[in-house]
Amino acid sequence: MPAGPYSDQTQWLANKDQIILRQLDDATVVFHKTSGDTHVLNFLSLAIINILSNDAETFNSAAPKILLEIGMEQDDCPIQLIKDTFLQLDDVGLIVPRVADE
Amino acid sequence: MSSVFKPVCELSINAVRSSLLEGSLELSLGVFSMRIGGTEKSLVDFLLDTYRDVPARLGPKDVTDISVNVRAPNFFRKYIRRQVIPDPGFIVPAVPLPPRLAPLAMEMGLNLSVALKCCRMTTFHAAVVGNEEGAILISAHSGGGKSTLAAALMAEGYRLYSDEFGLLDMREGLLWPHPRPVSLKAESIEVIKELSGDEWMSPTLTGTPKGDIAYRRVRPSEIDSAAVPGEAKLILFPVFSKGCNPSAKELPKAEALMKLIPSSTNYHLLGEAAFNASINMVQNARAFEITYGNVEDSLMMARDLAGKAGL
Amino acid sequence: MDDRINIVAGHALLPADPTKRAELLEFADAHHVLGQMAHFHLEKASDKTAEVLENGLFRANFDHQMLRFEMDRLQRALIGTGITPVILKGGAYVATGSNAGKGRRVSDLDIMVGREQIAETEALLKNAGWEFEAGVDNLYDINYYRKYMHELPPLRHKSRRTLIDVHHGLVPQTASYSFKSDLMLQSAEFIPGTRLKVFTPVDRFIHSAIHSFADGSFDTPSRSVLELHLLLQDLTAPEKSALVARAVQLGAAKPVATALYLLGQALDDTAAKDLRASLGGKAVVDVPIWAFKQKLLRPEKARAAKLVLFLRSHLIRMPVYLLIIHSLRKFLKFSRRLLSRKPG
Repeated sequence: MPAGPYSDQTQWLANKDQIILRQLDDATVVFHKTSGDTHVLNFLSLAIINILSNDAETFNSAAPKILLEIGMEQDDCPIQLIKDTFLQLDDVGLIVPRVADE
Repeated sequence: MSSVFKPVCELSINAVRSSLLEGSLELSLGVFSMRIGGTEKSLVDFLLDTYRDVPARLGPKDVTDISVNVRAPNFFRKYIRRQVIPDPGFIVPAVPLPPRLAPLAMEMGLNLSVALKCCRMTTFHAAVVGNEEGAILISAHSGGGKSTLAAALMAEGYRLYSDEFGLLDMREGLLWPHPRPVSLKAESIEVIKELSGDEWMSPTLTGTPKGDIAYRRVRPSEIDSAAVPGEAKLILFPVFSKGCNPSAKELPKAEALMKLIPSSTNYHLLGEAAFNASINMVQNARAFEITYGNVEDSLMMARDLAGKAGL
Repeated sequence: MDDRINIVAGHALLPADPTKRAELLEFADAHHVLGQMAHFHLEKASDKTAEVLENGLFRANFDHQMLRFEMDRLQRALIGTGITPVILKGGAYVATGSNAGKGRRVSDLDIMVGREQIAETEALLKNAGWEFEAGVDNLYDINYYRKYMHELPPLRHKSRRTLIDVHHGLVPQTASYSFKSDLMLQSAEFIPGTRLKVFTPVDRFIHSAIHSFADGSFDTPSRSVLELHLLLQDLTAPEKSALVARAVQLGAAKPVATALYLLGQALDDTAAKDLRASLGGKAVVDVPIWAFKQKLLRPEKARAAKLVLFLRSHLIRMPVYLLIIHSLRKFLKFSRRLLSRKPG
């Protein structure tokens, strides 16, 4: 469920200043300061946050970088799955669309 | 009126009664101080019996963490078809009870206060017991069997921190005691009477909204140790399933954390500090889900896992 | 004059006598002003007093963090649409760092948009996961709200369970008086770094006065008086000079005069007294002032006062014929909402 308007042209951002990442054995747990929520991140979500904290990206520009980060091919990790994960992260506010300069 | 704390049993009945009427009777147990008010005889009797070793002060009224007034819900019910509710100083959904169940109203008011009012420590719905090596956190919702297991472990020699709340200090990452009497329901009452002896149990309150309830008194040694915190070394998630075989499963730490978080009344409220303290606690402890069909099995597993955890 | 309000507002110290102090802390907690009191008194407090005050602050700070996240989510829901809602009341005080926000309990997010934007705003919020509550789902209530009220029924977010109140006016359209809320909307300023706005400081004071006195419910008089006092303190000298003229311009002279009168009485606020003098004969203080004072100063004994205020508040909002049709339904809903209401 999206948290608001978006399109394929939307540029997404993650802000690492707003999160605290901790490892518990092989799981990554994140505290999101803005929302006060605690989440367990799977490797895909973690990769998305890492990529988007370097630079704002659209779904399509981010996808190849994400696949590289997680070491998978598109067959094993379809772009639709990446898009769905983007929207889940958007829903909780871990990633946000970059606001267009007006 | 005195300013010094004494065990309730060293105070006269009349002094306790008038102090309750004034709402100035103060009890001190571990990290929380409580002020009680009330008019019912059942409440006076309960305090003199089940709270006999708890440090108390008759007055004058002072600032306390918690304040519960057991009173009639409205003007009429003070005199006609009398009822009582707990008034902890904030709005609560309280079911009116008959005056003989005033002790239950007080206990409910005290629990609601710890859960909803006190923000100093990350508060989990859990029973905690321990020894010199550390503490066991038994995480379960109300009615999930944590009180019974805690009382059984008390009979084994563990000291009670609390049967209702795991209180995690966020600076040092230790669990702190608040050892109120352990509330036991239905069949558990007999089981614990057998393990600990009749003399430690309060009279049974019958016909409560949750059936029969009785309280296992806390021992003077536990009250004395109420100022001593401990580090969690074992986290248990008990699951009761009548007649099933006992089994224990170690949980990955992240899973234990994500089970503990929703059981906390103020984790979200306390934010980053609660996150860090909870992660550290889970990091340094082992967590198990234990499935059991009777108290003896849960006790056996708890004993065994405590040994594995160095307790 | 009751000392408690003055202590809560930081004009006097906490009582040295432990019993009086314990009773005051309980009063403050019951009236949801413990956090605000903590803001003034925590530094000098010790032991249990400090711990109890801290409880109040923890709660307030959490409220603020949640509210800031809601404002973040609101912007997300409206991104790229050009709609710039005005944040009202508690949210505005927290967002602007006003003294009125420090230690204050807040809950629902209250926003205002122009009448012509209400339909689009409703649609965008629904797309982003907000929905009307189950009880208000039925046709009668939604139509009632659309036709007569100055706000939509509250919208609750599906996963966060938080509430947002969307206003398009300051008072119901059926009310027997009106304020020029359009002028207030027009003067609203951006919160720096966001796509959200707040009323000017002067308008914020006026809105608080309207909210406290014009609709007559007087739910939490201690909080209202404290809020007005702190908002008045926020105003610079030029802003204070402009207050009276602006109140008259907005048609809000009466509630503002009432506010200034009460501030002078309850807190001996000299700024308020001077300003009220300059309003002169223009405003008449409302009759139920005695009722408000009763509730403010002797809340435990104010039963008669409460009844007067409840009846009056309904009379103000709706012409009598509508009131008769509506009264039973609303009374039942009101009782239910009152029981589950959080401070806000």
